[in-house]
Amino acid sequence: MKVLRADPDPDTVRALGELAVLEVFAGSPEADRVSDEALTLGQALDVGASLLSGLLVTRGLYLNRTGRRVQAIAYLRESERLAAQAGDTFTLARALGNLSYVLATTDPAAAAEAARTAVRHLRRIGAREFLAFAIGNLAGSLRELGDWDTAEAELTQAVDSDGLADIEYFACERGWLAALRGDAETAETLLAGLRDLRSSEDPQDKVMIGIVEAFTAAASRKMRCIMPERC
Amino acid sequence: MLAHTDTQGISSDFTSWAWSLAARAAFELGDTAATGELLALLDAHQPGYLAPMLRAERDLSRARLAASDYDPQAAAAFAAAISSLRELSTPYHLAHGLLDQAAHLAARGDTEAATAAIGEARGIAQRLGCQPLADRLETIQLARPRTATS
Repeated sequence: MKVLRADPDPDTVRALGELAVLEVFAGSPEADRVSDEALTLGQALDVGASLLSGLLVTRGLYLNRTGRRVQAIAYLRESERLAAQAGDTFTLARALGNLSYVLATTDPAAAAEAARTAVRHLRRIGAREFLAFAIGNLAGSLRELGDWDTAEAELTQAVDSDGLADIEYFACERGWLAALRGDAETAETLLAGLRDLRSSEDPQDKVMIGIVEAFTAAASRKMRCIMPERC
Repeated sequence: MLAHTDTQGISSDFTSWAWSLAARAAFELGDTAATGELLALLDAHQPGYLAPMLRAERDLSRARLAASDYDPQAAAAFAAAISSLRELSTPYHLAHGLLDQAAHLAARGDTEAATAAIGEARGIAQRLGCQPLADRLETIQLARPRTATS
């Protein structure tokens, strides 16, 4: 990075952008500085709508993780606009998928709509990993709305029709829905089938498993086990 | 469950659901220390940083505490919490809040209001297909209606 920063060009911005993604998702103390640097430099070098759109997504995600939701939404909406302007379907879908994630706690209906649009784009272009992410966000928004049947249907379609049977995250979402309905047995079966997610170091994966385990404990009326330190 | 709020954010979807479940568990277990810690976790943030669901759940948690302390403001606290849940939270959380309120109303002998709250919660439980909510409905003891005696 030192070499690239010395005489910055669009490649520098791309490298910073990729570094920013890693820092933001790791919750690193460098996330603020790097995501801001990438976007600031990208604007200064006028790197173009497509690349700027991606940088806005990353910065928006950082802002959301620090509780600055309104700013995050603004960044993601601008990212969506620029990606559409550039005809960059993948980045557009990425912006929409992340917008749905950020909107989930404040406007789940809008979140579901953004996620559905992202899913439509991603199915068309065959971006498997991001499709899984967008479907997960759609299911989450539907869970917020109380439309649990449709959430279940979307997850089933993802497994049966989108070729995403290996995405263990979906098993977690399904386990969560089962636990919410009081079906501890199904939730426990789904949890028992997790392999990759259990060995993942990603904090989001750990949190997801923790949530499903907690709601499964609640479904079995094991309230004391919801707080393991008191279990 | 709440250990990763620093990477997920205090207002993430996960944190919101986790906090509300932990607060309910703490209350049901009579663990006032844990309830205090959970409330302190939210009170450490300015209101704009908290997800709407968290603000509503915090109101509900405080209403439950007020009721358990026999605070005369508990009924008003529950009413405010239910308003928050309606506006800011999910149908699932609203139904649980209605049942918390119904239990308080029933204990005060306000059978009519308790019955209304239970009825609304029952509708939500049926739409969601949520057995835990349905099970809770059965646990709320309503006062027998008074009958005239000769």
